[in-house]
Amino acid sequence: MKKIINKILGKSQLIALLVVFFTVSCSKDFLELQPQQSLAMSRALVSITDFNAAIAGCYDGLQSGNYYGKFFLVTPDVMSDDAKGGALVNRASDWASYVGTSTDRSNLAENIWLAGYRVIDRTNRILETKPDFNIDDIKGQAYAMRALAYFDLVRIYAQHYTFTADASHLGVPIVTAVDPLQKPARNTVKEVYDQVIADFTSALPLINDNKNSYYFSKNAVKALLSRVYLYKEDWTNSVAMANDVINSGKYTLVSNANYAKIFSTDHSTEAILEIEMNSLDNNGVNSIAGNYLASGYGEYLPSMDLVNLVPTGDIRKTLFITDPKLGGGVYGTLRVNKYSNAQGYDNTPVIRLSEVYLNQAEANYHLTNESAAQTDVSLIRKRGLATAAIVTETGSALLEQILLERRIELSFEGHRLWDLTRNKKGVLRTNCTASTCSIPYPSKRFILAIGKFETDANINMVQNPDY
Amino acid sequence: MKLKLTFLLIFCLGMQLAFAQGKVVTGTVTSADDGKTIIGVSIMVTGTTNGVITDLIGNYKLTLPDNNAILKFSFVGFKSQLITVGQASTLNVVLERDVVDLEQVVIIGYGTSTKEALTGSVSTVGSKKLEMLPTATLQNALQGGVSGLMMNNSDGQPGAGAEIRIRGIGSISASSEPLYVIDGIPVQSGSSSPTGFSNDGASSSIMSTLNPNDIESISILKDASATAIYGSRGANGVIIITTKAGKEGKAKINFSTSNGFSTNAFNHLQVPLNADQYKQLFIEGYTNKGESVATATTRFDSWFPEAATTNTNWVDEIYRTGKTQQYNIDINGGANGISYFASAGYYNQQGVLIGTDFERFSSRLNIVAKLTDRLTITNNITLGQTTANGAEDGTAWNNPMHNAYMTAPQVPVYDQYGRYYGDHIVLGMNGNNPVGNLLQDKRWQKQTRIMDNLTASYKIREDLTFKSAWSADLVGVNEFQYLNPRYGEAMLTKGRGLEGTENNLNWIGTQTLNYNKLFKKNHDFDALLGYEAQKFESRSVQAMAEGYPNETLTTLANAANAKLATSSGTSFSFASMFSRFSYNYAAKYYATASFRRDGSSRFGEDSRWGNFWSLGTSWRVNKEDFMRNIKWVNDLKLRVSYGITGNASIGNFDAIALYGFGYAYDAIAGSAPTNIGNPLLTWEGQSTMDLGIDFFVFDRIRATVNYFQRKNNDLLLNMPLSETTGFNGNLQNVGDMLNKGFEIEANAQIVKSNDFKWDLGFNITLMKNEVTRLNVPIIDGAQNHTEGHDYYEFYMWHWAGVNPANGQAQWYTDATKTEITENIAKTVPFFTGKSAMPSSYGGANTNISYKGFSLSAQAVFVWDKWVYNNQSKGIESDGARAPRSTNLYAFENRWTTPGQEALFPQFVWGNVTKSNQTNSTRYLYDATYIRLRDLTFAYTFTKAVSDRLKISSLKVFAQANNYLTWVRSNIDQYDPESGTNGNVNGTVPKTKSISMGVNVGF
Repeated sequence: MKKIINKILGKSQLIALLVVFFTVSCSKDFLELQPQQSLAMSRALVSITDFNAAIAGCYDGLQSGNYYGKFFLVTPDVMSDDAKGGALVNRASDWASYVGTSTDRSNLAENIWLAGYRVIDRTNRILETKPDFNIDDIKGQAYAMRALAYFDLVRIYAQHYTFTADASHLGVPIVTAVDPLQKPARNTVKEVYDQVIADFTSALPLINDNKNSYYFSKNAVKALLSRVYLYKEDWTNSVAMANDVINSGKYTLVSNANYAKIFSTDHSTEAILEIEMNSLDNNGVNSIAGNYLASGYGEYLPSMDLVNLVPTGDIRKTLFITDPKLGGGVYGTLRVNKYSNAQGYDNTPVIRLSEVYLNQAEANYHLTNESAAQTDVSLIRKRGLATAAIVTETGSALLEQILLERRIELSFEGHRLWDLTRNKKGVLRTNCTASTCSIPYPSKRFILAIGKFETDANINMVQNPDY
Repeated sequence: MKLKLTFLLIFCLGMQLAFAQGKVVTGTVTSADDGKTIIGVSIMVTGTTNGVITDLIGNYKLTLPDNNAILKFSFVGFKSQLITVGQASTLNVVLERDVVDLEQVVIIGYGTSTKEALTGSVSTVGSKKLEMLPTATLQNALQGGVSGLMMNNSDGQPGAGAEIRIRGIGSISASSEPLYVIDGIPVQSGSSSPTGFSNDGASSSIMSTLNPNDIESISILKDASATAIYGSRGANGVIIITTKAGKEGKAKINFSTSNGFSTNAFNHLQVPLNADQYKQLFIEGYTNKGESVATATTRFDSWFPEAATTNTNWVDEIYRTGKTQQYNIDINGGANGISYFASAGYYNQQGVLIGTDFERFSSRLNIVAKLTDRLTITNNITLGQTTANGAEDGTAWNNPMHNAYMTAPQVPVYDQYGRYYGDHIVLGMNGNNPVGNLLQDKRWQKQTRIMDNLTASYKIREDLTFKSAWSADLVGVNEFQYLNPRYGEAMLTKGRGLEGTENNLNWIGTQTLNYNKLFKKNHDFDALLGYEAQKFESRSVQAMAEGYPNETLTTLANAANAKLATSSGTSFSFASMFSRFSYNYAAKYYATASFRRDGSSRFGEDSRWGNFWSLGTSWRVNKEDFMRNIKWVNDLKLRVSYGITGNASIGNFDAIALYGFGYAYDAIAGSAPTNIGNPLLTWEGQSTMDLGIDFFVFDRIRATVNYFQRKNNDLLLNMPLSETTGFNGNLQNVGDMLNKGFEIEANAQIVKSNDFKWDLGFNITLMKNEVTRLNVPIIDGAQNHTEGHDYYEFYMWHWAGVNPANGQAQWYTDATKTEITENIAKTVPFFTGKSAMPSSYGGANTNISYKGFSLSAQAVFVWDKWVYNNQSKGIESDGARAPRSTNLYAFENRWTTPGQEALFPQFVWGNVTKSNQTNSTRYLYDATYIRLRDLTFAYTFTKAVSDRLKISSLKVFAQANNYLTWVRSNIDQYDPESGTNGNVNGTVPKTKSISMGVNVGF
């Protein structure tokens, strides 16, 4: 046995064996491994399929719980006079009580910012790439989405457009190129609005219109522009854009009978742009519904200040449901049921036809087309309650009616706070569970702090006053 | 061992040639153990370099100058004997085993050395410390016993993982865990957890698949001279585990078993409220808010319908007395050049938390076959399987250890139908039931590991050996979680099941050439040259389903909606060349140089290969002539070493800019950038300096003192990016850190007579850590890693007590601590001067034996360590989150009346004062402690008894583990043991146990 082995491993073979072992030293490939769940960035945007995936990834950014998934709507709503904290209130409660900081309880100052810029980065990467095939429609959507993201960021992190006469107050940094090392300073609100309008305008000719309300269409862009111009107090353009959408014939107001269901219906006839939510997106209790429903966190309740404004019999009153377990007192017995799917599968409305009418009404009022304004408001009001009287007020009373209708119609869709501030009104809560109930206009606290992470990482970043 | 033999062989052959004249003496050397002859015993003429070693049948023949010669018989693992030759020409010698001497052979990287020859800093732990451990993982045996090594484990989950830090913290973003090497092969360590059972590594460990009873020794390599041979993986130290080998001879069977009971180790854990206390607090919380007692009472009655008949102590409900049992059997022996060690083990531990347990089956077969004089084949194979049931940690509502304090005592455990109560959804917390959570819901992990290591070693010439080692380390992990449909986390989705598997294969081929020769009597030269290739591949699958029709069937097949089906894979590879040159002159002056060149797939394209090296020297002062007359000094050695190592424990693909998938919208697959990438990304560097002195005096006291300096450079940091980039960070090699300190290890044999022996040992590590370069501070929860500060220094909001006038929380506004405010928004966090890095740690042990009796004790201590309890912000929240209960300490110390000096503020439901601010000093505790880790009493029956029983040995023992604990803090609500970073995260508290066992040898 030993002899045999010795023979086999005679010296020459042994040396050969040695050589083999030391040169198993593997080819260069041995150290060049590629990931299996990701693509190197240089290979990620090559074919049309890649761009289709990339634009879906941009929409995915809008779905984030810190964006249209929940907090971008919930945060301004709990800062307004429409919502109040329940007994279990926790998330976003710093902002509801106006004691938020750059490191607030739910870290929203940082998270909403990052969610917005994440969408901007994803769109920038598409817009920077110039493939030799046509991706106009995808680029159009990317422009529109970037515009929306800037509009959202400038609304929540900066004072409204007319806060200074020339909108020269601090907005948010405009980033239109991919540069990992950038440390941009804040642009003025005017510059940001200019960017928003420029991007929406670039989007218009590129976008094709064969798509449903989950995607940016030409009409979605125009509808959003009607809101942007309204916030900018460019009344003429606001009316023009609203008018285009209304006259496109693509959308009709849902009937009174079907109204309550539109928030749980996909592609209702008045949905212009909504962010799709389904079981795969899996926001669960971390959805907008989870914020209000007893089966979710149920942390926030409708303020009676709002509930009492909705006329008895108005279909919109049915969006509140009774929950006797709330125990009465300051908490009352009502919950918000606008988003009724406890698992968070209700789409998040971005813009609906009813808002476009109300945008048009408010802009027309300022253009002193009072009768046109009265007609639009009455249309929305009578859709809620057929027996309601038409609006006949004029002057500032008419504006009050427009804003009242807007408050009822668009409640819990993330509008109220900005409808107040841009009209230079404060937040006055009577049915109030927060530690601060009255915040007169103007207030440095109507906008969020810039997250501490950003001010630490970016030496050019200026914090909002009072934070 | 083999190296040592080779060394001796060559050494002695050389000597014999030089002195071949005079008187001849012959004989046989046998072992007192079994009477068998011993091969390779060294026989030296004292005062000369003349000597031989025994041959294959234990015989020797030695030529002596005269009859006055004194012979020294020595062999590894046996006591040396000095014999004056006199007139005898035949000298048969019987050697006795010596446990102390066994430690003299030291296993080092890719070889062995001896305590005398080491130029580096290496500590060893012998098999005695690892036998019949009352815990499942071998790392537990290392706590407090090895200087420089800090073992942290806060988790009382059976089979929990353990964090080991050797000489401080070496990294910020990469791992600070040492490299584990088993029988020469770098293996997988840490935890693999496809669905998160491990709670980020705290609750499970791949290492728990190994049976500690199979281990012969553990070497802990600490300085660069010892670790540089592991190159880019040596920076955090290396733990080399060597398993038992068989000894040729008649088969010896060893059987041992033990049974034990365990409870929480700390006697003063926080206590929950009873029903009366909670109701009082409930009403008070609302009246303090301005409501009437009547409104509050109405709400109480509506929320707690079972209040009249319920007073649940949730903490008592979820804890129990745990049980541990283990059985081990091993057999070893061999003949004709083939020896074997085979073992089988079973370990079962029921945790102190109901529903938690850990079970392990393990087996091992180690075979050595000397096929020819030149060729030896060894194969070590082991198989281990573990099954564990555990709970989620942290502040999740699903964490029973958290929820048990927050769920009101008015909530019953069972409902009227005898099911777990789940009607308290109105209280928030998702209607979790801590008991149902542990007994009805499921959360388990199975680990299967097969490790095989096949080595062929061929002696090409007497002085040149080639060795080829091939090994595979296969780890399979299967995890499952089930949440019931009726109450708790998954109520909305009607139950949820989640299953995951992960399969890892790590293969390594190592080829080494070893040259060893003694030139001109005094120049001993040893060279090692090697090549190693390693590849790791991992694949995991996860699936989730929701909508369970009933509460009994839990596999995913029973659920209505498949929700998730995903798989992923990852891999990394290393290719390395290494060498080591050791030289000593007359066993007096030693020098070692090591070098390794590592390439890895993990490093960026532009920096794929790195070189690592070390130099070490030592001087055995007692070998000098001037020391010859100082008899009380048995040994005195000075060491110095310096070297460069690296830390390659970075992500597998961190260097590459990536687009990831899984960003679906409207059911269309989406992609998005996931990593900015950095082509320059590379290993973290470390330069280590070590100065050491080893001495052995008065034949009794052995001590080692080391001074070390670990300078880490190019530390990987997720450098904060402006979030306007869509990212918040990018990994870059920036940042330096320094760890320096002293290690002292001392052992004294106070009494060492034949019948009565008493040993005493002590070790302490005093060290300081400092972040020496960091462009921007990194705020990481309660800590802020900032240049000039200790890495783990807490950076917090500073609690300034309660205002006696109004019961409001107060805070210091800034670091000057001159101003106090009730408005936390007007304050900033600042450094506390307190760190989770202890100023010192170590342990003491003693061993007393008298005839068959023995008593051993080990105590461990950690000094000046601070911990932050993240759970407290929820449990002691002063009512911030209604209607969660609190603990008794908070209840008893709350402010109620103006003028009262109280520890805690007024209790108001839904208060927004942020008195429970995260990361505040209010929840920072002193975790200085001393713990009696082990107290073991054993009795070995006399030979007369074992002979009568027809067995070779019989031992009984009783062990008490963690039985006494002293803490310096006066707020004793939490067990002082915590993770390395000092963040207490609601894991199962540490346990103490008492066990009894028996060991029988056949």
